Amino acid sequence: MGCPDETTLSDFLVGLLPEARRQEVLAHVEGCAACQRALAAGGDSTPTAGVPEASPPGSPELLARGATLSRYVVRERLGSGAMGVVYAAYDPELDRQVALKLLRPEGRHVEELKQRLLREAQALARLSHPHVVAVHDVGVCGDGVFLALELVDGTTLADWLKEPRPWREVLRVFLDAGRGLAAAHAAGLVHRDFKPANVLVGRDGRARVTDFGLARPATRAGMLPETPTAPPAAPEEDSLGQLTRTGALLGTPAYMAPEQLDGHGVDALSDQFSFCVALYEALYGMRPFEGLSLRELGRAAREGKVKAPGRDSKVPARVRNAVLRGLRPRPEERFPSMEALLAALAPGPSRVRTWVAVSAATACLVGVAVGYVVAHRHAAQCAQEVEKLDAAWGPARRERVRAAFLATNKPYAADAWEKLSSALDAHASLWRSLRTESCVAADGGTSGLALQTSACLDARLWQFAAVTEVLEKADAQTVQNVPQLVASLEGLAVCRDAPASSTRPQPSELLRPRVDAARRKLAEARARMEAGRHAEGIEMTSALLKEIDGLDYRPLEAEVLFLLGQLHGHAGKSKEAEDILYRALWAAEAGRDDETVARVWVLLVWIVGDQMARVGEADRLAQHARAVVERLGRERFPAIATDLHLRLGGVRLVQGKLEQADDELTQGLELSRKTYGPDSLRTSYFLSSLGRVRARQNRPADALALYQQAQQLRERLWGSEHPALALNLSNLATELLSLGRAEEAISSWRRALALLEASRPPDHASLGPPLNNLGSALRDRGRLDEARKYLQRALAIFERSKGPNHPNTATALSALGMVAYDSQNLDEALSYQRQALERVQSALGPDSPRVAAPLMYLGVVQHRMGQHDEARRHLLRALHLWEKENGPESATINHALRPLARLELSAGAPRKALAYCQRALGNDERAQGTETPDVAMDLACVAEAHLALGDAARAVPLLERARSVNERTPRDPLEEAWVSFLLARALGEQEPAVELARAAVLAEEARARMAALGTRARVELREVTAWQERHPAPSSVARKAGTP
Amino acid sequence: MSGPREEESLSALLRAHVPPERSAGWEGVEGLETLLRELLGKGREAWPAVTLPAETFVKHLGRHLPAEGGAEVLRQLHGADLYLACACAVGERHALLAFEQHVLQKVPARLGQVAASTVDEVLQVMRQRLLLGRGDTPPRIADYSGRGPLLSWVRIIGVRIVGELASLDGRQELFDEPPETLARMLAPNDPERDLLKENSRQALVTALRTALAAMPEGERALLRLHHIHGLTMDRLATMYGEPRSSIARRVMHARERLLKLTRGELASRLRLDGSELESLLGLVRSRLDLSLNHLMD
Repeated sequence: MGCPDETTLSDFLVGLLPEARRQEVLAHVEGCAACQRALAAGGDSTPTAGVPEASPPGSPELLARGATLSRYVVRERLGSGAMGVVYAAYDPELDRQVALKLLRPEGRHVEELKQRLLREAQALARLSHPHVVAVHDVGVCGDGVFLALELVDGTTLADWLKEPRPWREVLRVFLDAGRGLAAAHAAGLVHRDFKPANVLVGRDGRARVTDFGLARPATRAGMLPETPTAPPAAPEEDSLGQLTRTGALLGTPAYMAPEQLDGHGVDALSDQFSFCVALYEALYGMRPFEGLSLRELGRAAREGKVKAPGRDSKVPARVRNAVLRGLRPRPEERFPSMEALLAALAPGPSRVRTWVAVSAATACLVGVAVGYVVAHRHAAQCAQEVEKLDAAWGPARRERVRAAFLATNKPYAADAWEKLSSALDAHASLWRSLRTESCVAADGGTSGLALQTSACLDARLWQFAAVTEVLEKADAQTVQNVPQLVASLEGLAVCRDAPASSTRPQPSELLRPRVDAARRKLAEARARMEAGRHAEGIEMTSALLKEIDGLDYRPLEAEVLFLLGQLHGHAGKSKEAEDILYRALWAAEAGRDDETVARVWVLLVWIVGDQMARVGEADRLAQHARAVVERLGRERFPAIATDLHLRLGGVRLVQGKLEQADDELTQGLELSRKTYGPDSLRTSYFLSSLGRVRARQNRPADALALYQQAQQLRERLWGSEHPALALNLSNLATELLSLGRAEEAISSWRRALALLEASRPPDHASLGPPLNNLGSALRDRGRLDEARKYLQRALAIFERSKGPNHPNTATALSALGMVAYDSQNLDEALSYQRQALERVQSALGPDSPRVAAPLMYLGVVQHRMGQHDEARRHLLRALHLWEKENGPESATINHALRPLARLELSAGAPRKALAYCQRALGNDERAQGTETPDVAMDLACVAEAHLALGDAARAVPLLERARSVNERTPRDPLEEAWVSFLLARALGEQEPAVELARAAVLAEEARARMAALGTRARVELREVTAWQERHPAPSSVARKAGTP
Repeated sequence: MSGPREEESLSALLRAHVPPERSAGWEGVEGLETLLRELLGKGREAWPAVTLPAETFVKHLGRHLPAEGGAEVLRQLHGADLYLACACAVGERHALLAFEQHVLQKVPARLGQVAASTVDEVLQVMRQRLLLGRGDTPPRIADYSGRGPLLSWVRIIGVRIVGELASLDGRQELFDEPPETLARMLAPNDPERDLLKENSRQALVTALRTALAAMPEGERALLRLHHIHGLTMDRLATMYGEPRSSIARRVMHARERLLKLTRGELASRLRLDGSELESLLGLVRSRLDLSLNHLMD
């Protein structure tokens, strides 16, 4: 087939060919470069292709005449500024002249900056106002962003002012420009660099504001450090020289508000200040603030030292007063808005005249005028929408929150306020610009997406308002919980990017007002939860549940029940939480609310599988949770998917399935870093959970490192006084202990306990673990009464909060049993260990790896009681369970191997003992290296077996090694004393016995240390003293002591 | 022919001038009179200086109407464009002037990389071919049906003429993509491309060319239309008769295949060393993403 004719191609382009013909043509076109070219010419394509190279080699930034950028043809270069170059260009599509501005961001965050530029330029492009230079088009070119602007035939206001002008004329032009600024503010945009050079005055006399400071940080959050708001603080002489020499060039600081000069955030009020500096200068012929350096200038502005204008000025006092108010150093003392300032500047009649003049000027362009009025009315509506923000974070509430914080008189309140205010300012500012954007985009009511975005943002605003309401009544605890409160504010950008998956199901219009009202209250209750005020939250939510009774809107019911369940879970009431959550689940199912269904399953995994340790059920719950997350889409709901990883990881840990826990948590950590960022609270949860896995894998150094990362992150987010730090401190302490750093561990636990006791009732669930651990650590130090006291508290708390059969409860029982053992109350010890065993077995079954620990303790007690067969049976069973779970070469099984070795030594089977000890030593050296307290114990174990076999010569070097390890990394003083004693024995039995004196010294050292441990070391102490009696200290080194 | 009669008779006129085999479809079309008057109105409003009797216009219109379609077909017509074309076909002076100014002068911007002298030549040929009849044959512009924009139809002819002139002169290279264009497919207006070492650039172009040749024809055409010729996703969707999203997906797949092939080429055949290869591929990938975003806006 030959090439189709132009009519066919033209029809093909607009989709008017009959289907069969269209396919023929398409088939031809796919193989015909000439037709492709013809189609490109006919289509509404971007004609960059095939046009001569844009940039001449060597100067890639400069565009030559005739070069094209997007669809624009460059004519000439008009000028260049700090951020880029401006060209006059032609738009062939719309047959008009434009100014083309190319912005090339530089620095480390080019991509981020580019996106920001683009977003802001797009917002600006939606702003249509007679006194703002119109942005026709915005696009990307390479690393840069370009703006196609209205080309204004005229001059800058700076040049315009060089001619003498009557003050009325000056004021008129400034009022124009001021209206442009006001319109930008209403659209959520801040100019940031208002000055006469950035206002264009057309030949028609109309002023238009241009050059919005696109590339500067928007808010107090200051996200782009390499583009400072204020010029860097140059040495005083330099700025002095530049200021006086080239005033206009470095002119910007002269117009900057003090807060801007100080590098703080910039808002509409800063623009007002700049506007007034420019107006003052234009009216009186001099700048309001004197200063030969930046510092002096800043000081004058901050102190509000305005130079007195000349006396002969004809400018009325009304105008002067208005300008002076706009120049106040404190933003809140200026006019609340540009509109207010303009109203004060323009007297009533003159305002009317101005409006009439504008109307007359545009009357001949009816279409334009009407379009403008409509756009203006819509912009006004949007301004109203955005004002809703004031209820959540207006100046008044901001001030009340600040006052409330400072009134707590806590040393950390000021710091917390700084962090809080900058975070909330940024949140508010982002909300404002997104809401304006979506409102403007919803113009005409056709954009469903924009409406969804608006609804999503409005719901976020309730949450914002609820949080700030709690903050307004901040007490010390709320101040402590600021980081969680801030972290609980859901992201805003997602409302723009994926509103569908960020918006709750919406009821019919009829129900909407009541559902909205309920959701607002729900947000308030949730804020209570985040502030740690659980009881208050439960009360509010329960009341809300009654209120919505009869409303018959299931998704709402599900939301309320879900929060209620969550609150109960956080308050440690797992059983109630479970019941409520199932009700939430049914409501959500009935309301087809998949998102809540997913959240409920995930939370149930935590409550039932982790908190209540009903691990059999946990597997099934996990399947439900996984299935619904899959249905929702991991990518669409990364937050829920992340939560699921976290909760499942927790359950796998409770189940002792370390590999699976490791998998879940590693995946979750990655997802969390991607979703929430590396420094988020959520990420710290994964770090600490992985720490728990490492700890259980007997990798204490790795675990410690993870806990320390989590600790740093949390202290940064929470400050150092936060009660929630306790958990991680407690975990940290456990690892410190494993690494032989007992005193650090104890102080870490004490810090954890103190943090918790300061904020919670003495029987709160969270006190359990630190109490338990502190008790165990004190037991090792021989402080048995203190230990028993802590452990009994821990036991009571575990029994009540986790249930009598929870592994944690069993752990506390075992620890109490070992205190009884150390106290030499062996019957009591036996009873504790039996209980621990029975309880864990009834919860997890006889084959659970969690049964191994109580079995081992039971064996140890029975060994001392002389019940060797029973002891052996239990220890072997523990060994078997641990082997099955962790493999035969895991260091975990050493917890059974060492007691077995001791048992065999007592039972007179030293060869068996030796085998056990050597296996333990191998495992530990593989897992931990050669220098840990565990290795020292293994060395002692091997040495003792050698001694029992009569091979003292072999025992000595092993024991020397063990002793030196113990000196470097001490842990259990009894174990260490025992090593000294064994070495004494070995030296004493060695042939030739050349070191009897040292043996005596070592025995005495062991005796003293054991004596210091009191009851705990009574049995061992008896052995030592007996040995000492048989081996009196030699009177001379050469004489061999007689042995029996 | 008095005013009122003319107004009343537009539909009758049309029926009289639609070729007999198609006239049945135009019986009883609702509001035909109004639609015709609207079309005429559009033409007269757009080109007030042009004088064209209603009868001539309707007659012209009748020639281009399909057998079926009714009111919808009329509504979709570019009335003002058709009016201008019709007036040009009868040699109306103001119409010829308007055509020169508003249509012909906008053609060069889309002719591609063509020397200025060639542009003049092309425009001259276009004037001859479009506006002058030969013997009994009416000027070619009479063939314009009003279904797409006139400018688009004319530009297609312009590009065809460029092609004809090129083959006449043996200027065949116009049909090969020059290497620079090819590289632009991956990196429009990219200063970094200039920084590439000359041999790397050459390698990139060679690899791209080979990779392109290895692509299925359909995918190659799609990439060419979108990336080189810059047709928008919406336009492609219309041409391919598929939803925009499916076209976007196809472009994406084609692009990925191209990248993969290019990577293979660079790695195996050209034996670039590791770091050079990686930086080149990184550039290819990042720039292609960028240009894609840019064009898909």
